[in-house]
Amino acid sequence: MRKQLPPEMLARDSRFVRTSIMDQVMDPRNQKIGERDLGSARLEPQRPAAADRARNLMHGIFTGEIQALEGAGRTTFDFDDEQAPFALKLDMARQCWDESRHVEISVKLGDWMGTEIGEYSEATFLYEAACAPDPILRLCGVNRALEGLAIDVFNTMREFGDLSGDPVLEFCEDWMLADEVTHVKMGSDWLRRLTADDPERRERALDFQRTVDKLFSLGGFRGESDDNPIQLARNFRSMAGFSTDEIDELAEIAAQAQADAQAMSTGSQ
Amino acid sequence: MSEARTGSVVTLTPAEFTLVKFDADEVRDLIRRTMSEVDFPASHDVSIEVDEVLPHPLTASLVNVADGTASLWFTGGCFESPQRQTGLSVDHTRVELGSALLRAKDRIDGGFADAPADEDIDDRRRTLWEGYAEGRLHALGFPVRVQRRRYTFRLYGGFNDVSDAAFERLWSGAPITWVELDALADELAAADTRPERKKSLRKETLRPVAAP
Repeated sequence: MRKQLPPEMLARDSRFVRTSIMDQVMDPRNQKIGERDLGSARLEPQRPAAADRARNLMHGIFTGEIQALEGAGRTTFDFDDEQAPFALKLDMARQCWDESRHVEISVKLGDWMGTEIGEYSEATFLYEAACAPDPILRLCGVNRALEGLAIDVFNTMREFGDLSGDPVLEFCEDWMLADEVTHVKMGSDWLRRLTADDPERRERALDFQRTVDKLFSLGGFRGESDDNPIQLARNFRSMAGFSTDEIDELAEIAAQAQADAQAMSTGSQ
Repeated sequence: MSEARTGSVVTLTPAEFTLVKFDADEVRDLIRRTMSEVDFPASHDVSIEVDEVLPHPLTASLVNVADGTASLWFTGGCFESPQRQTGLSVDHTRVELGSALLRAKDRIDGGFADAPADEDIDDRRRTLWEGYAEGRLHALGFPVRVQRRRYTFRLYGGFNDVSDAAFERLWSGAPITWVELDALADELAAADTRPERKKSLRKETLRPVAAP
């Protein structure tokens, strides 16, 4: 079996349609939308198009769970025991079990909300972060950055379920959120253990995490203001082992990503 | 004038799309086809405006009828394919057009003459009306999905048995008037045990406010 599987080789059936980040960045509507006052971007039931926005996000969670499964699965296989301790691989195997369950839950939530598998395009940049050649970079990019994003997303969806009085959505998101907290903590713990005597490697890994965090804050997707659809979940991140300084830094990264997007929009006018 | 007319005049704005890859001729064909499928009255012209700036999933539409013209406004997201950014989805376009044209038809001769302007209808009533429209589209063979509409219905009508029963009644397509729909919305509100903040509150719109 091949090691280091590239994103284009991920197995998908004909229902799935792939999109690239460039499709989103180069969309000619971006700058025009930036000129509009569309009010708060928060995902809330009383906001216009709430049902379609929730369905869209739920499908994004579904494809994200598939890629998280694939990423954790690759980490159990791509490295020998010198590169990644067996106990780390056991943690990744356990995470695979969680992600498989999340995929199933997401499919059922899609059914509940009236969405079909593959209805929305799939971007693979989550899996791309799981292709780093150093297992510690993967743990920072996937477990700390992307599973951290999952905490923010699940918390946002859980609140959406609560606000709309949807018991199924709220319950499912709460369960998945609990798992994500353990995945992030796993990444934080292994980062500290494996780089205890190698501060340079730790810094490289944290740099990679910052890059991924900035990518996933693209255009203000995640942050702490009304302009951000996904809200930074400080409390759950703290439970997952993030220090207050780390959360503050992430908030700054998100704010910078939003400012960059606005500057890009203004500059292209 | 209406008796002498043999067909509606259809106007699409913009005449050509520049920000999305919608073929305006294809959209015009879909409009005419859908008007025929829902048996839209020839007594009225149809003016359709598509705001191509607003992408999927920012879906919203407004329908009003005045002076012999049905005016329909859509976000571009209503017609856009969720799989191909800026591309047209024929199925989505047919359903959105069909639903809006049926609501316009309701206003013309379907017992909804007393309905307020779309901008003034709250989310619950709007959702009930859309459920009624999509149920009829389903019977006509349009590619609508019952669970998709049911979820939206519950979001604004409540996650409870009263709401579900109202949905089934509307989805059946059995004729209903605005007055009856208004009363049904009140029944749903009475059965909705969610705190007020969880009920339908909004009156925001994605449609830009025209400059004075």
